[in-house]
Amino acid sequence: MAAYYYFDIKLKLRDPDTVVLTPSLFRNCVLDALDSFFCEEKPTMEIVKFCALQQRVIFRVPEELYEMTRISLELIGHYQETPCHFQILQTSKSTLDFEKDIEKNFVGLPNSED
Amino acid sequence: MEQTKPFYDLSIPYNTDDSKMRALLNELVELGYKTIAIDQSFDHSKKENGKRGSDMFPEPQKIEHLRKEFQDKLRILQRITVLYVDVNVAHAMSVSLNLRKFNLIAGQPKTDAALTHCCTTFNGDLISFDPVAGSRLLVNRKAYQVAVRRGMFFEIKYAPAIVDSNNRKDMIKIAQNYCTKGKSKNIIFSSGATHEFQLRGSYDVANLAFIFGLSEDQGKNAVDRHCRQLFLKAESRRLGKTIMFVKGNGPVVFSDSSEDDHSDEDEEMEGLKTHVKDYSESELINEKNPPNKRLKMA
Repeated sequence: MAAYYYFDIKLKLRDPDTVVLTPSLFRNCVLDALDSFFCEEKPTMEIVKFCALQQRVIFRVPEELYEMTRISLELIGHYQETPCHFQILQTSKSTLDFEKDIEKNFVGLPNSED
Repeated sequence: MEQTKPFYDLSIPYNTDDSKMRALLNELVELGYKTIAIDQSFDHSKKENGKRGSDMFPEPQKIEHLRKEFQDKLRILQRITVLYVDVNVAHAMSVSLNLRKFNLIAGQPKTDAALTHCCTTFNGDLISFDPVAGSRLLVNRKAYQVAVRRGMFFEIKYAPAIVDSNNRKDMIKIAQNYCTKGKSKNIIFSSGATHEFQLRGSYDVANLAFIFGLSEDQGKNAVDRHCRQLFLKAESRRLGKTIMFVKGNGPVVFSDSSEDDHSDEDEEMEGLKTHVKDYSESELINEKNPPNKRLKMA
């Protein structure tokens, strides 16, 4: 069984309204970076979860691409010619899920009526 | 002792627009930085020839309002980067009063001669390079070693590598040169970011060590320990001879002990005496029959 690394990414964009945020465009952006920095042509990258509203993505890559992907993400400075920062919130060998975190945060918050 | 906390970003270019500075500082706080330096550039080669008597170097920019605003979140230092081409800068630096007001002094040589001077005699703390000018200047092994011995640090900025791929190639070339010539000793990473989207988290920056030819430990030190060392070196340069107060946090060594403790100690001492007695007896025996060869200790 192939081992994967999961990345939890927060997309910080200067003008979120001017860009089109879709899983395939995000995937292309990361793959282009991998290609230009490390000449990794067509590496495997699967998007597990994508939320344009929260600007959060979870994707996975094979274990051997972990270091290269991480460095590429750090060096990406533009998304559709808009300055951006793909902030790595978490990496893990096990499955990640940002919706659980959000639910936890909602549970943890005190009720405003109280 | 001056307190600073990790992580460090010792190159944030000064911006006259306060809103941009605030955005940068807020992002730095969010990314977990605790100590930063706001950088001012000064080009010594473009100095006015007729200017005598007055201080050649500029005064630090007034950032008290930012310091107040980020009082609990960030320690804000001030840094000057002196761009120069010849060794005349040394005299100007030695007589300048304004330079002492900066926490850090960095040198950015423009020629090979200036680079050698920067490594061997420059009265600053840090050696920087111009990422836009490319990798024309490469330090030689001897100059690098002298710089390391003098406690100078070499700076690698990562923001230009994010902005432009040509800059990235040049930066990797310079970093690899540091690696081959001096095993990447005394390297610090800083951002040189002009806006908040060029900033990266401290662990991510440490992770860039892999493409710059540094080991994992060197990468971590480049955003933490080396920056602290650089700050202390700069403080010692600024202040000269200083008095240090050492405060102990450990257990009290000299204390009055109670009688019960004393009796326990006496017993222990008696035990020790018997041991000593046995040992001295054995030594006496050895003295009577000294060994011909020295015994190897296991």
